[in-house]
Amino acid sequence: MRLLPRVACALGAAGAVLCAWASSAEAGSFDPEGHFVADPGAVAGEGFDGPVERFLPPDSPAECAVEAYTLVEADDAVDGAGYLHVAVGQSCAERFEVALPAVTGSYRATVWMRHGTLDAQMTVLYPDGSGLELVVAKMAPTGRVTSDGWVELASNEFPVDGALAEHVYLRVIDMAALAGADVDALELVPAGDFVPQKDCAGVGDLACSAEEVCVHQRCRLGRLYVPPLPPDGQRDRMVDQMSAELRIFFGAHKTRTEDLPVALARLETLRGAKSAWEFWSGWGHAFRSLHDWHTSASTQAGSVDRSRRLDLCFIEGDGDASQAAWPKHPLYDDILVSHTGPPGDGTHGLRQGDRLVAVDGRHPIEWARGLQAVDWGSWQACDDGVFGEYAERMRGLILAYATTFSVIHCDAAAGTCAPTPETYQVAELPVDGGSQVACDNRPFYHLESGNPGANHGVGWQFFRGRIAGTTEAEAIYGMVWDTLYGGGDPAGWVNSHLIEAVADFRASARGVILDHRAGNGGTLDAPGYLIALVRPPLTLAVFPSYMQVAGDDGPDTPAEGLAFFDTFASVAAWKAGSTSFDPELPVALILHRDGSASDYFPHGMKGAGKVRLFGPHPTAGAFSTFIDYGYWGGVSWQFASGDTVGADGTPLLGTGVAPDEVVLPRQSDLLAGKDSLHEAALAWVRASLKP
Amino acid sequence: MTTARLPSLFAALAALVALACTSESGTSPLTTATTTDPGTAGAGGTAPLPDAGARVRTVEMRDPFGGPTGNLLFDGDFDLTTPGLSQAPWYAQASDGSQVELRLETGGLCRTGLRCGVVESKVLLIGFGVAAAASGVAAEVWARPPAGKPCKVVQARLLNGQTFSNLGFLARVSEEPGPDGWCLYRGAVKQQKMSVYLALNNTLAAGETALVDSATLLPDDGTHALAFQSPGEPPSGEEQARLEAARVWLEGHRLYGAPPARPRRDPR
Repeated sequence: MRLLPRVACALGAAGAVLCAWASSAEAGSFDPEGHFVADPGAVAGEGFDGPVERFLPPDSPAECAVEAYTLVEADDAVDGAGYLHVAVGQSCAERFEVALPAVTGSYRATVWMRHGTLDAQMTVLYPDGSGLELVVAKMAPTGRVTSDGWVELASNEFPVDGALAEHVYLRVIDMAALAGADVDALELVPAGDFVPQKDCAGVGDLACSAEEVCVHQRCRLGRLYVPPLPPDGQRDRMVDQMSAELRIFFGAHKTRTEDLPVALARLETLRGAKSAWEFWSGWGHAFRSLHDWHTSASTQAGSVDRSRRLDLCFIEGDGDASQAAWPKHPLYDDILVSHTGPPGDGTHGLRQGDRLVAVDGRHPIEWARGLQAVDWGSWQACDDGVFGEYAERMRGLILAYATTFSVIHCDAAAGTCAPTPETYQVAELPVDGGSQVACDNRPFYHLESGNPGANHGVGWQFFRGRIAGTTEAEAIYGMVWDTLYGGGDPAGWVNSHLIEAVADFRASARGVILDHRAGNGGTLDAPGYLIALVRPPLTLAVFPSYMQVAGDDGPDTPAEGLAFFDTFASVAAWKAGSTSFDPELPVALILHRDGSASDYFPHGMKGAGKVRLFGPHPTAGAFSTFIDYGYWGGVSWQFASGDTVGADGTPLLGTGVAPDEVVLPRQSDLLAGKDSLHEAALAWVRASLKP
Repeated sequence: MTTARLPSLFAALAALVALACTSESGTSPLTTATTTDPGTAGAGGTAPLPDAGARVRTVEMRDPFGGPTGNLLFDGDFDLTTPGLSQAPWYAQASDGSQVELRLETGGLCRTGLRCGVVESKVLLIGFGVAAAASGVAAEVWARPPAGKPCKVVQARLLNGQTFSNLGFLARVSEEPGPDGWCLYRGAVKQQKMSVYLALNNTLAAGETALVDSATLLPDDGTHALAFQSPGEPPSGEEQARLEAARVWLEGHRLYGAPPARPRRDPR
């Protein structure tokens, strides 16, 4: 009987149609023999039984023009006599159009998939100039499956302005790229109320409802980016299981004892979630509460394209030239413009050495830390006192979430700064999706030749040579690089560069400056090649990975730590150093935002004969590896698992490697074209040259 | 362009008839089942196979999150393992020592949950886990060999997760698959100080595949009749060499850093 009101409305006047559709939120069903019965309320769909209308965006790469699907006639199709088999290449997708009524509406889509993995979404494209942005509704399992392998996927309710939409289609990517996946029985059923797109100023803008979040100046309907709300019993099971997984596998001594309880409490609140967005945004927030460099959760909500640009990078520093106008925050360092792209449209008048004093009226780091509930890309050091990750991501955070930001401009020629800040409205920045300079925490480069380019694209590259402004007799050489991904291969790209560099330094250098200010980590073989330059063989730590024993909080006392070390010393020791190390070669290591293998690296360097670490603060303290999980509907997460214990029995995760010489980039130096950290490192090396 | 499928009286009537049939006969194919209990051979949460008569398929509700809660394997049910992960809960290695992407099967073809693993000929599969805090561990895993093949085409053993030394061979509960086509492998080991991994080897012929699912590693309450008194059947020389190659590969590739950036996909 439940279908009758729907039918009655459908047979009525056009105005009554929407009224009746709004009561429908079901999908197709099955008769007692297991034959699919399409939902009579469906207003559009695709059974993949005959020709389909494929959509290929006009600017798609040429390799994506080739049809990566076949229509298969088979008895075991869900709907009708055939299904779609899709096997899409890397970075391509297949899209199949559906026709919706030319009115505003809200719909729920379901589709069935089988074999492998499928990323499915409904997509609504509006024409340029319409003022309407792309709408993407991710699809994830309802839990309904068939004995012949089919899995039902569903979207949450998504709005379509049928009069304006240029294309409405199902997009599928099989991801596995192995045997492909089957797709059948797409149905779109009216459900919910149409939600118009709305502009907003910044996160917290009341223009957005509780089910929306303001990202890039538009209220984003959260449910579009996440799977449906798990039903009551399943929601409890998911909370139970995720809590158990974190208790069993997550983290190390510091994060388990301090941060895990916070995350578990957040997970508990999800049992009562009333909407998909409440549940899944809380899920992500729980992961971010674990306060760990390697730990995160991802959804499509974290991938909204920016519409504006800030072609510049921020860095923590000492705003010595402007503190009379705007005092330093008691906890956080000042935030300075490290470098910019070419002066012009993307820099908005900001220049190197300017100081970012506030975002939405708060210190930028304080403001950024306050985004934990909404920022899916949140990235933080394990060490509670380290905030370099926030500074490095600051320009992206401002564009995505801020309403205003305030800058004290400075005059490099005069070496002076304005007495008051200029406040920018983010929404008033011109719409501009142009490129942005990379942020590597290096205001300048210092090799005599062969420096990275003006776009600061260090990435996977290695830059090496004699330091500019030094003499041949001084023989001071340097290297600029970010990755330590050796991958266990001595002949691989990374390790071969490091081996070659060390050989050259041994042969020719009287002093070395290693510039690793955006240390992205990698694998633990790579640091060993560099440590071999400066230290004799030594067991530095043990790092059994992943977690070894369920729920182990790690050593709580020095005695427990030493026992842990002894247990694993023979099977999971990190040994580094070489008998051919050079005790007389001064090596300065410049750090700024470094984590994981880029924590182990300075840990191994620190304290060696003639090594000195320079940086504004400790490294991230991310002494672990991590495990990765993939769910459905674009949802994935990863978390750290295991600890590293030093030879003295100290658990290392959570405490970054402190510089021997704390040096903050000084605003006055930036204005004068100087790099404070490099200057300090060079001065020390010059005073310590190998005889 | 697909035509809009407007609601029609015919469709409504057809659905109504279907509903009426379901209601009166009580034989709706939609059944509900929780799929987190390992059960025993031939039972458990697997979808019933289609009847020999007119029924073409059965339908049931399953938990997309896998289970069971408290499993000491990172993802014993394969429900949270997808292609493209930086460090997935399962590692698959080809016979030449290279890492391969784990293939997945779906829905009611799997024993529990929505996904299960596809074991291919000569592919070694290793699931990562941890030791129990205060007891030994009891292990189970299910495999569905190709039609007509016995359970012994898949072999399971527990490893010390640090050294990859053999902790024990999981015994086959039966030599032939149960009526549902699945085989159960069980075993237990005493309390461990180091992590415990599950390794799955096979003697499938080229082109053959088996499904694996519902792997559990749970604290042993001491009642496991199949508890190992010794490490059981040791790995052959060839298997030991493959395990060592896997250990070395994993050690060299274990990530201590930001995962390599994945290529950004066009959101359209």
